[in-house]
Amino acid sequence: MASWILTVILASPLAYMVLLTATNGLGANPVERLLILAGQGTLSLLIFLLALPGTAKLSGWAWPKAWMRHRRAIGLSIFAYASLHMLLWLADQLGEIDKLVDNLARPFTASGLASWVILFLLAVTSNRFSIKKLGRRWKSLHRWVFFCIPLLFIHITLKDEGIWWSAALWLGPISLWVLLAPKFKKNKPPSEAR
Amino acid sequence: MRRFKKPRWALPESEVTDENIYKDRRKLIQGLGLAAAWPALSPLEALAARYEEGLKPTPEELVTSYNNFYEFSTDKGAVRELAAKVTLGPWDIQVSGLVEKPFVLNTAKLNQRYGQEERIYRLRCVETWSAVVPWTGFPLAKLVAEAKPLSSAKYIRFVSFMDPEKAPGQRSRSYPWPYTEGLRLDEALNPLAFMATGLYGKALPTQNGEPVRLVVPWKYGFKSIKSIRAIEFTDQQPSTLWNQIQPAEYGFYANVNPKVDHPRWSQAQEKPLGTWFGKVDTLMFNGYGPEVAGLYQGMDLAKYY
Repeated sequence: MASWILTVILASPLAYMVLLTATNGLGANPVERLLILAGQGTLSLLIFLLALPGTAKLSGWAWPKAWMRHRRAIGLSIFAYASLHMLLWLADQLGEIDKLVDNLARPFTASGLASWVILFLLAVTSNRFSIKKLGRRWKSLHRWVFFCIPLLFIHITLKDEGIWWSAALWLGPISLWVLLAPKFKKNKPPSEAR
Repeated sequence: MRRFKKPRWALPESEVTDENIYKDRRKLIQGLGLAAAWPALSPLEALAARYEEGLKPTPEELVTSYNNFYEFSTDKGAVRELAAKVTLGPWDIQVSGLVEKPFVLNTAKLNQRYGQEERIYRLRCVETWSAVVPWTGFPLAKLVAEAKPLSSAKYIRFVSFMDPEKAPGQRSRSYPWPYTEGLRLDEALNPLAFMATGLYGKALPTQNGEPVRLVVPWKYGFKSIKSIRAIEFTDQQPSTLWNQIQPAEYGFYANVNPKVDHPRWSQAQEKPLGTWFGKVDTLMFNGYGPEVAGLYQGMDLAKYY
């Protein structure tokens, strides 16, 4: 049951995009709409993933605990949505490919690209071989996911012409949760908290 | 002088729809057998289809369902629905400031007062999407002439409406509402500068800026302030909403310029509404260079963006 619901959660942004595309519901600027939806999907699932450890630890519920075992699938889904977001953007750049580097180097795009690079590194090292090979460094590498929070805060704030409240609404609560959840004690063996 | 010749951008006089034909348009179109092929073809669209420059209006549905109107929403696709239940005008526009004769204009009487003409203009949004819109309205110069600006008047400041109960976006304190915009007086006197009261042969829908809006086709769309409540002639360059929020991105001039990038993206290309990946090259001054380039002679357009 828990993993069936997880599949629905991970697939729902894509399902919504497919539905809108199939029903002609993307509006006057379809690529922009898909770009936004893929970005929002990335962000939502990233928040979902980052909220899991604290929720599993503090709530004692069975589902978050079960989902903790599927963090690889969640992480790879986030990477897939982030890649779709970037590919849609890239496809829109084909007409001026000579300016691609310039256009990637703008703070707005660079903050998004940097987040994608982090997600890429985590995705390619999400296999058993890498875990074995990297040993202790694997864990510190995968903590880089937290760098995505400030990077995406910049990305969303710049998208909103420097007005940061929307970025704060998206990322504020999860930042607090990630920072504060470990501070609450729960009578569980430390191995489970990880 | 060019002024006395028919301007390049104008629809020829012969193309202007006779009022009686216009009133009978349904019958006319049926008579032409067009109704079956294009059930929604308005006379303006029919005109534009013949327009020599090849400017083909964007489908009306796209223009009225997708645009920026932050007073309602920052989501361009959500504006129409939010505005659907709202009627803003008619109202009295105050024309004031450095003029011989301040006066009040009732928006319901604009067409009667200044007449109505049709203009099919390119619209280029600073966000790199674009459209071709058949507007109806009158040249801004007619209004300026009636106001008789004093020689000290150098700019015009436009102020939009303020009504947070009708426009939910105005409840956000992130923006210095009401929306304000401005033009240099010589820009306002250019024959292309237009006050629109309608599009596609109909009155302006709320989401497109009823009861009356500015249309400055050689500038990015945000200069074309919607739902105007007040017009003031000044000797100082007026402050404008987007310039206040993000001066590095939105200058006072905001002329369409493919060579001057927005800090977040290139302005070299644009995407016509309704297309997926087919971008087209953006034209200097949005294609109106011959008419307006003279206004900016000697100015560094990278500095005065």
